[in-house]
Amino acid sequence: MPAWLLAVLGVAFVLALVASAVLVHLAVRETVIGLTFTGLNPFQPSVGNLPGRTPEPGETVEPAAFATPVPWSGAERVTILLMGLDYRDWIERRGYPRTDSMMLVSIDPITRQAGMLSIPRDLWVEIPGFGHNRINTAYPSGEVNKLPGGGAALAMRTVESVTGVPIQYYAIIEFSAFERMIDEIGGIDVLVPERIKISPIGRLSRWLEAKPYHLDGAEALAYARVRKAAGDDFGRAARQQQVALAVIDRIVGFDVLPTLLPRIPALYEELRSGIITNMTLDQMVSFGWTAIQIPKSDIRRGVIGPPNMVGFHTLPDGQQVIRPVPDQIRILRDQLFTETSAIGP
Amino acid sequence: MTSSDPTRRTRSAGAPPAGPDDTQPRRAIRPADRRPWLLLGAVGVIALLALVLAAGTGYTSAVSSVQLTLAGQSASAIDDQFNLGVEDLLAGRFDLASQRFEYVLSLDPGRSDAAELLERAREALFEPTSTPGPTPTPITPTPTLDVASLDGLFGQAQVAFASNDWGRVIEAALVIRSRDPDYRRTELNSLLAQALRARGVQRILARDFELGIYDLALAERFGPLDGGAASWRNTAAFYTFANSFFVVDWARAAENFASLCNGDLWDACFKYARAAMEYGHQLMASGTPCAAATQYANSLNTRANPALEPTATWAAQSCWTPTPSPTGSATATPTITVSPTVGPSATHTATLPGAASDTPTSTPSPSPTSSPTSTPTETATTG
Repeated sequence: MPAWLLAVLGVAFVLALVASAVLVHLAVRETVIGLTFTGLNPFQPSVGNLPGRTPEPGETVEPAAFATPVPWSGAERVTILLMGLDYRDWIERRGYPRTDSMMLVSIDPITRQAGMLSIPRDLWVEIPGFGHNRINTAYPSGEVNKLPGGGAALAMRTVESVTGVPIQYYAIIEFSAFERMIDEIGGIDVLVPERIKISPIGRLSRWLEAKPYHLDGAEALAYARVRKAAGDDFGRAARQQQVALAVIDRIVGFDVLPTLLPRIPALYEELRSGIITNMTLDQMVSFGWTAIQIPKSDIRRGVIGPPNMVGFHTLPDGQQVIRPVPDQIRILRDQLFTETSAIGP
Repeated sequence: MTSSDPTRRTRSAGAPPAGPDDTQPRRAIRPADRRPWLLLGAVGVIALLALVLAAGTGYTSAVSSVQLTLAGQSASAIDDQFNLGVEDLLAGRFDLASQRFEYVLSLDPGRSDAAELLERAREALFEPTSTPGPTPTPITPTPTLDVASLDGLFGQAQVAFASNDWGRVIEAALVIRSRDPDYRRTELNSLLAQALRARGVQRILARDFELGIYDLALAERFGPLDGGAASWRNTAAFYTFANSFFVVDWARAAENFASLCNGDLWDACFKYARAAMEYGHQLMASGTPCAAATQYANSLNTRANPALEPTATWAAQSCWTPTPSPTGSATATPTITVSPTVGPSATHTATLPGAASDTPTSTPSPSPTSSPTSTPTETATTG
């Protein structure tokens, strides 16, 4: 081979090598940055990250290979405050929305027992730094005043001051994200205990009779949000817990997990604008994985409600509020969280 | 003959000359040339190394970039919160200011300006009463637990216990328990119970009432609480009970906070003064100025409030009932007996602990149980 040809090939090789190195450098850099800010650890993947797509109706989906998620690794009880925002504030753009629903979900990783506690939105409490008000104003107060951690942190602190249970995480799930998640698992099955009218967003209202139903995302959201009558916050809280358990039933009972797990990273990317949380995706998956392995009989549920735990009052300005009865709430708290704690002899 | 010549045969086979008598010129036989393959291999290795190096530098660069971004965001958040904290402090929003300075110190423990302002905010926050409140705890980053061995964890729990780091004791004990439920069970139970008890009281003192009560409830699973801890728990429970009436029922709020104010606990006197004043307003509006005057007096006795004084005076004057004198001139001598201490409530009893500082070894000595109740005594006599 002539020397000049060798020289040309050499130069071309060096150029190609440099170009490849630059591309690899940039690709690795962007990938790591991207995955870091989505909460995914690129070097310790705990879930499968195969690209997925939504199966067509009727299509048979082969269970995909996926890495088994890691259960929650901590030893201390982990508690999440789930919050839904007020739809009316949302659509009428009245500033920062109030919380429409609040539910504590707590798991003890050692005893493998869980508790769910719903908190009525009109509960009259002292919001740290803001005096007494309804508990649903904690979130907008923290947002408006730019507190550290924003409204979610203030809401967590306020709920802690009512229940006494330390809260580590929060998650605010917007309506569209909630609907999409329910649709992703193929809907949920609920036993409607009494006739009730639901109004799915963007659809006509309809009555549900007292019988089992399979609800899609929009219907499940409407069922979780509906009040039978003004002030029916307590029945509504019970329906929300029913929906939460139905989601677990669906995932476990219908073997949705093998098809769901590989799609989680993609689904999270799709829904992340509708989920506000301080958890990483890894943490969410670990928490969910631990939660669905707890038998339903080991999930205790409670609602702060009548007759013993609250009193109904009218403020001097005519507002109707709910006064907490701390002693009674404490009894419920202990049933849900203290008796199931790993902290014991 | 030629065909049988052994030399020829050998040559034809290409073998080396058979002997020194072979004088024909020979071509040197070289081994196979491997240089191109070596060259290609070397180039491949270099290319691979270059790509690995590029990936490595890409990763390092990404990590640096992420750290820089996070540090920038954190610094910006720290400055924002510090400035907002100063605004809150100047505006008298001491609780909010405290929250902000605590946040700043949690991210940057070296900020002496934030520590100083936090102290001021806390002092102002506890100003309404002389209760010895919790002293600001210096926020120091806690290293991650070394979970290599159970003995090591137990040692760390003991060290944390000695330095009153109750949260870390509990954390270490739970990690041990999750790995071996039977490891030094009795000693671990003792550590857990004492740490929970101490943290519970600490939280109550810091006005995190329910968190403290929850800790004490967990501690109680190991055995009965000592008198000091039980006393603090009862007091905290009574405070939350009183607080639940704030705004929704001023009368009951005033009644219950009055007994807590007797113990000069937390902001109980501040709340009692406010509740008594608001209850007084309600009584005035309902046409019972004498009862209102009592409440106003209670409020003013508890906490000076120049803005309330004219209203209180007017209520007292309205309470006067003219009594005809023998000469026919109406004179009035109002006598209002104010009893700021109110008596026992129907369902709750507040036990007021004495000391505020508390460690597992030093328990507060509760003062005699006060039996708060009662309706404020009001006597209006005329003469």
